[in-house]
Amino acid sequence: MATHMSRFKAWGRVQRFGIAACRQYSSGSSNGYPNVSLSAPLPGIPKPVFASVDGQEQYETKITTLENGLKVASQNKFGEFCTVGILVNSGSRHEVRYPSGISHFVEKLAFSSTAQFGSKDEILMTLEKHGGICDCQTSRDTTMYAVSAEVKGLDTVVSLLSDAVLQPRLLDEEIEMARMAVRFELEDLNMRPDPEPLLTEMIHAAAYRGNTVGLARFCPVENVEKIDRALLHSYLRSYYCPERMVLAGVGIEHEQLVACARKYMLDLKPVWGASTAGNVDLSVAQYTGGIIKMDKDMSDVSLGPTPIPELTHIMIGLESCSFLEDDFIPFAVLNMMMGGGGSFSAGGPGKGMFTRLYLNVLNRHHWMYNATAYHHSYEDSGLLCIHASADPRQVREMVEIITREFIQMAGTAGEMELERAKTQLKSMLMMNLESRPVIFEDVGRQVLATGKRKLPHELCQLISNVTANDIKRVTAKMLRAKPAVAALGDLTEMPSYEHIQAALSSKDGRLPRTYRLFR
Amino acid sequence: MHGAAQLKVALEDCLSAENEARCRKRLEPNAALYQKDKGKSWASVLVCLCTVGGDTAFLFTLRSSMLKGRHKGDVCFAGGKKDPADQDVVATALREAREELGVTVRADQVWGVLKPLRDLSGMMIAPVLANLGPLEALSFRPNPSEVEEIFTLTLAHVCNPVNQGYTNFRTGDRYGYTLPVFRNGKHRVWGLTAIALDHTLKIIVSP
Repeated sequence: MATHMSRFKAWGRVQRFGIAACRQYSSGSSNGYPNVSLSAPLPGIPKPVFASVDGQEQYETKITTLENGLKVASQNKFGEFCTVGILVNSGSRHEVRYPSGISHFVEKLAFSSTAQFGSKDEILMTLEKHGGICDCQTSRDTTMYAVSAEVKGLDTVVSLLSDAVLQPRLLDEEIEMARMAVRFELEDLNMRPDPEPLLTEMIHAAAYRGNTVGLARFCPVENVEKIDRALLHSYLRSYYCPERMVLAGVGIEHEQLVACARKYMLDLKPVWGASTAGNVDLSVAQYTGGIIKMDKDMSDVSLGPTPIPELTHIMIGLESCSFLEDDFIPFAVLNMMMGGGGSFSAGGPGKGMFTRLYLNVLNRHHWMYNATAYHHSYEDSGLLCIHASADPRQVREMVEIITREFIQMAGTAGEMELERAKTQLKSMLMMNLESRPVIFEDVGRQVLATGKRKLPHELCQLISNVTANDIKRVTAKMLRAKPAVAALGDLTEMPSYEHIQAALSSKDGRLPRTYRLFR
Repeated sequence: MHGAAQLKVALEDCLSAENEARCRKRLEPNAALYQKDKGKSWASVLVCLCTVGGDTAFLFTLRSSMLKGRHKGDVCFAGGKKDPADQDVVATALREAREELGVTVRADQVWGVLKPLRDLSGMMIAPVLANLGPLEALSFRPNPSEVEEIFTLTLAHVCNPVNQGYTNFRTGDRYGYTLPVFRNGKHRVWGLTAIALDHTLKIIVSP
């Protein structure tokens, strides 16, 4: 009604005074708003490029190997920004002949001063010009340096990456700063109420005693002072050679990336001298099983005024398989089917409210605070574990519930349950692969480990092909292994390792009865 | 190519009479190493050579997962601890093979004893090498409470570098020791069994 009135008013004005007397809504008479065309492009503005969606994967992953062994892999993607990085096959699992913690230091020292750039600030300023950010992440078997920036800045980005990876200066002040950062991180790990990273360390150390992936991922306190430039150089000399590296990129043309790689990475001499590839540790991960206990007073872990209940955390794991084997997909589906999470979860679609650990454990036992399944997988072995936490006085029941869940994994999975787990896994895979950094990591890791990349729709097909028999078969294989147990907190009621082992070999998963005189 | 062809020839006549004689001669001095520990407890394992369809192979057992103790479910050679009635390490190995596998190995099938190994508890383990002949001619009656499965890995498989690996272990906070591992077979062979297999290969495959 009101607009109708105002239109009347304007029309009335035009009628009385003519068009020239109408109020101008923009400067310039002939470019006034009534004369701007809505169907022809505006002059003087770059032509927009639109994405088109027709359900097919437009680009495929292209892989080239250069003369020095470096692999260049790229996946093109629509957009103005790209993610480019270098992945190196080096991590805490290779540190058996060195003091543990070198990878941790390398992570903290990444993108500091290099031959070309005087300091970390200079690197960040250079990237700012291209709207970019940089980051380094190390894990047990891979070190990943990544830069996300505009596609136009590809040349600068690759030059910066090769500099940061192969020619870091590792000045004394930077190593001192890294030491401080490592100490802070260790302090934080021990102080925080969430025990996840500590438990992961412990379960790996228990499952792979003294070798490869069982070695500490975080620098142990006693090694923080031992690591210096000479040690870092001797480690990097062995492991940072072109055959162990992949230059991966998402969002750029493959030819461009290869050209940049040839320019900046082909003849570059690392700052620590020529690489000696002979010293590389090719150890195969040996699953041993075992138990690691840490008696820790968890009665006052809250960092704020609200108290957090005292909990004991245990993690029980069994050997699964490496990600190179065919059985990896059934294990992933099994992990999804077990699911789980914290008891205070708000729930909702995709959170796994109908997974076994919720339905059978958290919904039935109100005193369980947490029951989550995890699956870690490496190139030669894997670990499927369940983390549970409860009050220290109920540790025994908690352990029994978890061992019973493990045994029930060997039964036939329900049809709907299996379908739900498969759909959840597929949708999680596809949703995560919509994000560019995740695609970059996927391309890089797959090419580093296998030399080629399985495309998402192939993986979805493999997931769809998993049957209940596959789950039964892989569970039977898994239950034959010796368990790995990690326990943290007040452990007075904790059953012994032999009892847990017996429970996992029994038909129903119950702990052996102990008769105690005083209850 | 020359090297690969040489290896193939070496593998093929591993069980020939002249190679057997050579190995027996090489293993003879080892018997003396066991004399001084006669009073103490020992354990023996029987490293069994055999032929499966004409290919030379090794015989392994998969220990039952119902067993208690740290070696349940592992791959190992038939063997066990000494009985008071056993005369020497060879007798222990043959008796254990009879108990676990249900097969009788004659004393003349035994080629000799390899150098002793020690396990983590310090106990001496004696690997006894024997040739059982064609597998098809033998009938096994494995004891199900101790042995879950009997399987073989061919000599060609374990000599292939692709299937051989090693693992460096740390003791305390520094490098400790290295153990061999044989993979890609039906089950993974590691630990003391892999060491015994490694020593055996060094002896029977002529350089």
